[in-house]
Amino acid sequence: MTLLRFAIRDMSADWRRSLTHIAAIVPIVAAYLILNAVAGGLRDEAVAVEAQNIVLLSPNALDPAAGRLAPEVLDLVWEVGGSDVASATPMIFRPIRMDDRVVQLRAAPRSTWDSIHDLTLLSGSWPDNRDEIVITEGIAIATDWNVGTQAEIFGTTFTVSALVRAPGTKFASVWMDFERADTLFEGQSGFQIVTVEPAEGADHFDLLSRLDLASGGVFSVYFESDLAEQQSARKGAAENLAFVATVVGVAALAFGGFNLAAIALTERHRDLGIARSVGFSRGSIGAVALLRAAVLAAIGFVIGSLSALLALSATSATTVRSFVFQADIQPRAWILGAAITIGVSAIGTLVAFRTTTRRPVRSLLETG
Amino acid sequence: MAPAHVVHARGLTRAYRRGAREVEALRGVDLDISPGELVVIMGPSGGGKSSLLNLLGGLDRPDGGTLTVAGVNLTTSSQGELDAFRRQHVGFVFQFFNLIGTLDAAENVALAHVARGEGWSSARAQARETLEELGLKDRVDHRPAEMSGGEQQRVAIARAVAARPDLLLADEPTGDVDAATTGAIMELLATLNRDRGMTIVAVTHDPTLAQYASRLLTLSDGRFVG
Repeated sequence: MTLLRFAIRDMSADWRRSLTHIAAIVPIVAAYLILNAVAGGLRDEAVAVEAQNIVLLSPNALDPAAGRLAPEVLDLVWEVGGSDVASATPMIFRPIRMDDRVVQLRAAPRSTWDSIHDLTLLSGSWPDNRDEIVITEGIAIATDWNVGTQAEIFGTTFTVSALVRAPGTKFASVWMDFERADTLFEGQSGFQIVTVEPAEGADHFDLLSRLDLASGGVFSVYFESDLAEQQSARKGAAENLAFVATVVGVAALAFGGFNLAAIALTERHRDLGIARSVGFSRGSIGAVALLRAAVLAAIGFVIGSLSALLALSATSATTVRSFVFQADIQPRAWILGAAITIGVSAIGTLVAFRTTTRRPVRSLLETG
Repeated sequence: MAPAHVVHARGLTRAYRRGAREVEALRGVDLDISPGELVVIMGPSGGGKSSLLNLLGGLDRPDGGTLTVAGVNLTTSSQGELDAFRRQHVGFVFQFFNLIGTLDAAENVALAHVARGEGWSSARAQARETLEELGLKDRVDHRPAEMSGGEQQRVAIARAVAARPDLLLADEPTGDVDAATTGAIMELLATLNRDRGMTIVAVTHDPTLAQYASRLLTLSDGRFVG
């Protein structure tokens, strides 16, 4: 206990060095936790296999929201598909800003929401006027919106009339009637997706092949389930990237913590010599150095964690292109981060301690 | 029964390697110091004075010979035993004061008590008493940077004697202070020697310190001469 008090007294007396030490740990911890949360959010987003609809997208679009299809595409679908097509509906798909949040908007003819897009009403009611929208569970989780919430889109106030469940890539989206969206965006948006519902008894694969042949490179053709898998794969790639970033964060945390502890001890070589000369054993000095490093690392970790929480709470939903997800710091990230921060500080202290305490008193005689 | 000699050394040798060269710092030193002596060791630089002081303080071990200080055989002691020896039997005063800059005077002195396992509050209280005894009452809460060289050295002496050691070792105790302060520092050491019966070994280049010595020795080229 005396050694702990001594270590704390030493830290407070040497507060500038202590603050510098903590300040160096804080951003590393915060970056590590935020990266971990983003990786976790990408990993956790729900992906389900959807019905066997066919979707047409602009080719080579990394993100569906970046594409734009010409109105003639709808005519081409009917021309090529003929009686094998039950319906062909356009969808506006774009990220929009609502009350300072970026969310994924999907606008399709209202009549297709439940029949083709598999939206299931959870609470509220389907829109019955042009300024009503519905939100999915993913949006409700990522924001605090619910039925009755009013939000502004492109300068117009909309009211959330229903909370719905949507499968797969639609999990976190805001839904609006196509005509209303087209009017809202003044026809500038065009549409990004055409959803083709094969007629009953039609050969889905044959229809997909014919549409693909007729596309002429103007659009790409997928089964909706395949698209879900592709988008899932893209998210997987993003998740891998976030994981790599997390590993880099962990390494930075480990290396940074190690160096900070080592430098702090090396800088105080003379003080170690003084302590040895008055009779402190190597063990006692090591214990004080370890306690000091551990306490500073712990303080740095707490402040870094609070910074990460603050940063994540400032944006309740994280957006990567048009995918919206919630970035939460997982308990294992806290535990791993705390263990790494304190552990590497201790290791850095021990390694530096081994080299700086071999002949510490000599420094008192030589350097003054 | 108290030992007849605080220091009893026979045939002490110590050599250091400097690059490819081996330097013989001590070449068979014999030394006996009785309780209550104030021994001043003089001699040229590189003559072995600091090496001898390191051995007497248990900071280093001899290559050969035997050394007993305050009844402890330092020739065969383990590192842990040397740590315990320093805690219980010796105090150090260095040329450059060597106070911890982030701690105030009382805390620097308290280190000697904390090293002995005493609680921080008790150690600090005792440190204040020691500082008051040595005329540093007004400097108790001051950090080294806020004190003069002479005051810092007196704090260093207070730290060295705080735990009432059997032997006080001083390495050039006046080497970094002016002439006026040199007298005050030596007077303080002489007072500790006279009033408390403290055994003191001081190593110095300064011939004016000889007047305070109960015995003056000269160490040159690793041997006592004269």
